[in-house]
Amino acid sequence: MEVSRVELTNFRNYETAAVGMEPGFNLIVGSNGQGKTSLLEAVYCLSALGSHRAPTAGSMIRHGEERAFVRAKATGAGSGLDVDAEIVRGGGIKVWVNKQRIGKGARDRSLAAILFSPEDLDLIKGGPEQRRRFLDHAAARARPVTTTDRQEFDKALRQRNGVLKAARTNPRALKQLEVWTEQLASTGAAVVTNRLRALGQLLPEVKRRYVDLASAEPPELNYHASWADEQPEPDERAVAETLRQRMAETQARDLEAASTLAGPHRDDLVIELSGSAARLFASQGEQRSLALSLRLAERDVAARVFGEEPILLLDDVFSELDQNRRDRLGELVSTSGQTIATATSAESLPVKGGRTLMVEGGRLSEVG
Amino acid sequence: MFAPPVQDLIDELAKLPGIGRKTAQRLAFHLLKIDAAAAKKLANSIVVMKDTVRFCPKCFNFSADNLCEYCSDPRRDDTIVCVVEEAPDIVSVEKTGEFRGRYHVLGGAISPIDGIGPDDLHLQELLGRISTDGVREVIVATNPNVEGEATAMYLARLLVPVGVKVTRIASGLPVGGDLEYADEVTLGRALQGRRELGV
Ligand SMILES: Nc1ncnc2c1ncn2[C@@H]1O[C@H](COP(=O)(O)OP(=O)(O)OP(=O)(O)O)[C@@H](O)[C@H]1O
Ligand SMILES: [Mg+2]
Ligand SMILES: [Zn+2]
Repeated sequence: MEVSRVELTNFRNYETAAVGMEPGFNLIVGSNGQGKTSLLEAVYCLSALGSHRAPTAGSMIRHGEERAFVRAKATGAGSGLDVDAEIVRGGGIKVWVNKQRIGKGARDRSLAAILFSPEDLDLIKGGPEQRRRFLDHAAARARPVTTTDRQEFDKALRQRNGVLKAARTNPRALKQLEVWTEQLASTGAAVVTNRLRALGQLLPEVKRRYVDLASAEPPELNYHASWADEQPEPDERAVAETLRQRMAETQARDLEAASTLAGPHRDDLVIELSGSAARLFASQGEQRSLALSLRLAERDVAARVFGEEPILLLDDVFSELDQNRRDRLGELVSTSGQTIATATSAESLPVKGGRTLMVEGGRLSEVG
Repeated sequence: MFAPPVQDLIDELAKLPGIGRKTAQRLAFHLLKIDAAAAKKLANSIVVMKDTVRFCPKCFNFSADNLCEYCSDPRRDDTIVCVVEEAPDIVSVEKTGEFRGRYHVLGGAISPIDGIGPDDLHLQELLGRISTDGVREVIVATNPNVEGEATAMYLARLLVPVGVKVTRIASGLPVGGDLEYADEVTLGRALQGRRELGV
């Protein structure tokens, strides 16, 4: 997938801007606060139908305006893609692909893009929820139904916790504990299986990408289930059965805590380098390389599913990598699909060729 | 805290399903601004509805007379009952022309976070109908969400032990539509719930 033109209106600090992109490597340079991330965000929101850094789409609208527009021309699977987005303050984002409105469930009909941003360091350093979400999103990319699975699980969890809470003052509430445990086990089993399948696909790519990038031993990734002693197999029935058993065993403690203590909502994806937890022991650069490997792996898997590589958006990735890793990454982006990267200066960047654009105060211009 | 009359209204509105504190406030402030005639009309339509619309004592459908039209129709099959969450769901099932049994309206689905438990639904009444009407099959047509599923399961656990066959409606594709335009989730679920074809 390649984007050839992007147009912005009232998007972040851009009033109006239009820019052409090369099929290969594109570099956006500019000082801090000039609009580099915003441009990547604009491309990304056509793919994710939302922002990567703000909880509401409205934040992407230029201060003092009511609406923002993003348009892109792209080619995917050999045919043209005209993507239009309208963001209305308080009204979210609407996206049309070739004039047809698409909803969240049909994201795969729009641009396909993978973004790596400095915040992705949280995939390694942050709490387990970040990593669970990473797996859930990776699963949803190939199978939209998994998003519904996760929503239903979240609902079942809230309902079961509701019963546990109500039981404190009203023992009659216990009558329905069993059916909610059952709902939690069946929806939870779907969520866990989706994650394990996604992990199964990502794992070899994460290792390969990390080894490539860091010239070091591959990382280990394990799904730690809070409700089982070993990493479970992606077998929905077996997982449901184990969850059911576990919740029966811990029911008394759940009641005491008025909350479900073990389940897919307490699981983690544990990442290790040379046998120790990357979250606690890996260096800044190692953590960044790991996070980047996760995103690159996500792109590799998506490429296999859809038959072509999603656009790679790299926000400020080069700054914290050593020269070796920069070179490796440079090789990677110059040999695979389209990349749009940002940097505060073009110096010492290992990529030859491609287009360099300069951004200053929300204005884009081409460099030499 | 607002002036007591405003606060009272906010408290009442917030008791309605799907209305949180914020929405209740917004509605109250809106009602504060509309003219008196419009406000009276709204209040009155609630009173008139409560005074005139009755529920069928057997199935809890809306009913102007004593028994509703489905309970009083002698041509319908007593042995099979379709259970729905709300009365308007009957209309949807009825439109299919596929069902000639009786109905039973639960009055919702169990939802602990909304404070709705089995005792708040018309379950005992359904249980009572099993023996008096000789019901052999109950079709559970609650909504295809976690609350609807939990309610269906609760019903099954209540009814199967007393010898009733309990079935659940399938969820699937809108017929007549093109597969190409079915949304991914509906199509995905339809694939998961696929059935074997005989030869
Ligand atoms: N909704 C908005 N309306 C107007 N300006 C905004 C809006 N949101 C952010 N900005 C401003 O836009 C400018 C560009 O932000 P952006 O994040 O794109 O910068 P950047 O070039 O990536 O900078 P850095 O190198 O520091 O990451 C910033 O000055 C920011 O304060
Ligand atoms: Mg930035
Ligand atoms: Zn009736």
